[in-house]
Amino acid sequence: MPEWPRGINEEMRQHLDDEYKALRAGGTTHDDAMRRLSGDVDELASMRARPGDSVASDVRYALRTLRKNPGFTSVVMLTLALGIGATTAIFTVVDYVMLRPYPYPDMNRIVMLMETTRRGQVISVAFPNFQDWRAQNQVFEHLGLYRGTVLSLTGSDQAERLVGSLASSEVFTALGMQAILGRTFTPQEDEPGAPRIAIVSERLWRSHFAAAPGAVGQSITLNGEPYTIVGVMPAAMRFPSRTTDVWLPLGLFVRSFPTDRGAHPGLFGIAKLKPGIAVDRASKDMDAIARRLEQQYPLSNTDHTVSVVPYYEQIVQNIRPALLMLAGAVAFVLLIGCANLANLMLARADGRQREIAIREALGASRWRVFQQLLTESVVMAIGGGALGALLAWWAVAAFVASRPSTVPRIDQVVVDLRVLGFAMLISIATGVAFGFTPAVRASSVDLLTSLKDAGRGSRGGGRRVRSTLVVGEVALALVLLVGAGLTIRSFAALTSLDLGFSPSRVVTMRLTVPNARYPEPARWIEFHRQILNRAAVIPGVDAVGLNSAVPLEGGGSESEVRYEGQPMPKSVNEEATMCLFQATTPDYFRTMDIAVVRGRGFTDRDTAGAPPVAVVEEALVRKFFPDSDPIGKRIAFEFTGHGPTAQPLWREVVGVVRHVRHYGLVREPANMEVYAPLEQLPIWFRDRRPNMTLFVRTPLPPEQLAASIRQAVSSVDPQIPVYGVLTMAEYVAQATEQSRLNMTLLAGFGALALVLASVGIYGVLSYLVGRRAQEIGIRFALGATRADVLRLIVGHGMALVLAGMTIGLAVAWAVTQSLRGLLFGVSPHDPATYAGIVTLLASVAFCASYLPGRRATLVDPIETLRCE
Amino acid sequence: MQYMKAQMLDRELKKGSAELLILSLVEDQPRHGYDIGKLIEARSGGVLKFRVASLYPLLYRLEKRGWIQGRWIEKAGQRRRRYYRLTPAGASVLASQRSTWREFVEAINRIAGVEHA
Repeated sequence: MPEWPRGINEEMRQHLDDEYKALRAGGTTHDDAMRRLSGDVDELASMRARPGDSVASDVRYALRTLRKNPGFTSVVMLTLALGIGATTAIFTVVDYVMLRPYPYPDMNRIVMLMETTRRGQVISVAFPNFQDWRAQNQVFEHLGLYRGTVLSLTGSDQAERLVGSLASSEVFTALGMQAILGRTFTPQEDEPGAPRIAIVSERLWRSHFAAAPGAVGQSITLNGEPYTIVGVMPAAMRFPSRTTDVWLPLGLFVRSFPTDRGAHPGLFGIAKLKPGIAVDRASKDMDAIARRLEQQYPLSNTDHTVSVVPYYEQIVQNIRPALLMLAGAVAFVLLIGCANLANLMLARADGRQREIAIREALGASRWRVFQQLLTESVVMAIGGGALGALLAWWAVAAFVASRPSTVPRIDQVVVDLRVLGFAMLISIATGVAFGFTPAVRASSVDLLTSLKDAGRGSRGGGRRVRSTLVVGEVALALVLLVGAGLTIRSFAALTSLDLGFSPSRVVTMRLTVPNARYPEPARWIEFHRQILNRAAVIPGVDAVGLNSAVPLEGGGSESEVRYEGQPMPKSVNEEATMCLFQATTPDYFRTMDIAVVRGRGFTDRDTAGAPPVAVVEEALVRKFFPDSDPIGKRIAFEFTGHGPTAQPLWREVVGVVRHVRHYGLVREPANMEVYAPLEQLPIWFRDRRPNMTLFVRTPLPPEQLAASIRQAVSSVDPQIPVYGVLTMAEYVAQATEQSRLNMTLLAGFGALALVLASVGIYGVLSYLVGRRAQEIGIRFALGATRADVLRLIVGHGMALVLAGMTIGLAVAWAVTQSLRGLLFGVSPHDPATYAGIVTLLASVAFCASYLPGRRATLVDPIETLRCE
Repeated sequence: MQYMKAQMLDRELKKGSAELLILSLVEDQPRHGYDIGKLIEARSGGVLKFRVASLYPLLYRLEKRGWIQGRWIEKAGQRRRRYYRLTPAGASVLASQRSTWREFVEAINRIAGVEHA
């Protein structure tokens, strides 16, 4: 405020006093007199700002004004809460997944190493290759190797299954992680024949050792063998997975790894780059090594290279596109909300011209009035933001509770101060965004012209701004809705895929039967047979089978597959046909409802002594035996020796089954599925036994069944843990989780956008009808029918909608390109989706225009003209 | 209807005639704000009414332009009041505003054929 004329307060106070006395003298009661004066008092209160406390007084004034208009205020706050809440919730997830620093020092120097084919297919690392990498590379400070494993912990009443990792000593140095108690492995301990030692997680240390410092030095029994604990890793150590509870020195197990460079036993590398070495440089270095190995070992290494991927990339690469999409979507929702609010504020500012004119008449500068109006927007935005933060807190809690496994670090996500800070920031930004234009326009009104022009329909500029905002809103909403429509179609395509089996009523659980406990394959097989027999007689069990791989889980053991009489490869570059081979029990196909389309499944007669047999999938038949009956033909996926002298072990094809989706729903490698009877255990499994999964078709609830099965297993061998109880329906849900999540969230945001945009259209047309009442009255007077007027208003609305949709379509066409990676079975330019969304938006927009249009037809021409 | 008329006239008044009214009222004798407000209301038969928040700032602006001059006057037994009187500059503005207004009203009359009251 500029300086006040000294004494003006006194003058005005006196005036009110005089007025009060006059009213009282005229017989007015005290209450009535006060009421008559309250308008003056309010106006004066708004002028009471003193220099120095302008922000505080602006806020006070804003609060007073907002309280006086509860309807307006609640609409604004609700819109803001929805927009800011959604934005904050998504930011929270993006923040935890992508922005917050990971606990490993020098995260940007940590890289993952994988062997890949030059066509980009990832395979795990052959151990001899790794030894050469370690010897020859110039770029890594530390280079470690690891693989995941499942361990069974015994010693207490019931066997327990733990997620473990075999890790070389350099895994810890590459990650830069120290033990919180004890130490990590030394290189000497990471050797064959070294004493058996283990590192445990903080979680295990707390749950099993009551966080006792004396835990280090104690012994635990893992897979039937004693290990001495040498260290406890902090909870921040979440490598290789967040559920890892035990690390064992990889060196103890290297002798069990094949010395063949063609064998890839699930090993992966992790390394820390030397300071100053870029990832590109490391890739080149490793590729040079790979090329040397290729020349030295053409049989196994042809076409193989090394991919060096920053660890951070590895973590976020799958989730990033979805998060970016969602972040974009909430930004759209927020923008639409802002456009709506800007419109509301503009309409309101017109209604407040008198008040603003007075303030300017008082000598308040335009800047000052602008500040005051903007303060109001920001105060509302902060209020809406507080509500939004609550909403975000609730949404994030619900999201975390749904445990989306595809989102890294999801278990750590909470709404905290940092997130609240973000909500605050975004609220203020929002307040400025939607308040700016109205405040500029309103504050540039000056007393005389504004009062002169306070009549209707004269603020053509305002109408243009409002119309532009509506066009923008419609465009944004269309883009969002098209995105939502595409993800819905994509999800529908995904869920209608033929899985090859029927997931309903199938419960699965895992068995880990350590080699150490059953070194003889025959005894190992016998153990599984007993489990099967006992499970089969549990009341309520319809069928039960075992398999070494779980559909949709991501494959299992792979090998080359050949048919008898197949010409030997002419060169090493010739592509081999790969298969996913599985050890299966006779009732597995029946349990899973996998159709046997030719021949037979396995029977109890397919024993170790019987002729070796196999069941194959249809694709293999099409490839190997396109023109003849496959039954009775021989194939081999097991070989003794390697290279040109490799001897195949032939199996007779006895049956053909439908293709089962093993690698998830979307991208499947072209591996042929081959099944062998468990009793005729594939030779690859003799030394390294798979963890078998039990499949049970039953109407029983999973928990009840699991209890019965545990009892059955325990009666055979109490040292064997049963774990991972999941229904096949849950596997399907997991496989569709990301798609479902994308669809649910985008559809939600799309619906929100639709509602906001229709409110926007409705609001602008209603305002227009109010402003043009006279014009409409004149039209009626000149003989226009109600239909004409309706057409005028609805036509105006639909013209805006059409403009918005045209722009929206162009933007959607471009933007949805980036969704390609997130879509399945639907093109980003799917005409049906576009047509459907345009129809939907147009219909809703029509309704939003029709209501104000109808109101316009009710205008009384006499009344409006009399007003003039 | 009375209310609507008042509103419309109020708007017309503010078009510029507010200044004219105030200047006219202090032409003959100095008056204080409350007096001015009451006179406007009374002489217009209640059609024109100023609110406190409009009147005093306007007085202040007129004073700042040098058209009127305010002065606190102490009177025995009464509280002090600020009286405004017309300055020579104000007098010439008043004269020119009067003639503009007259022309305007005559123009309206010629077109609309409204008779003088």
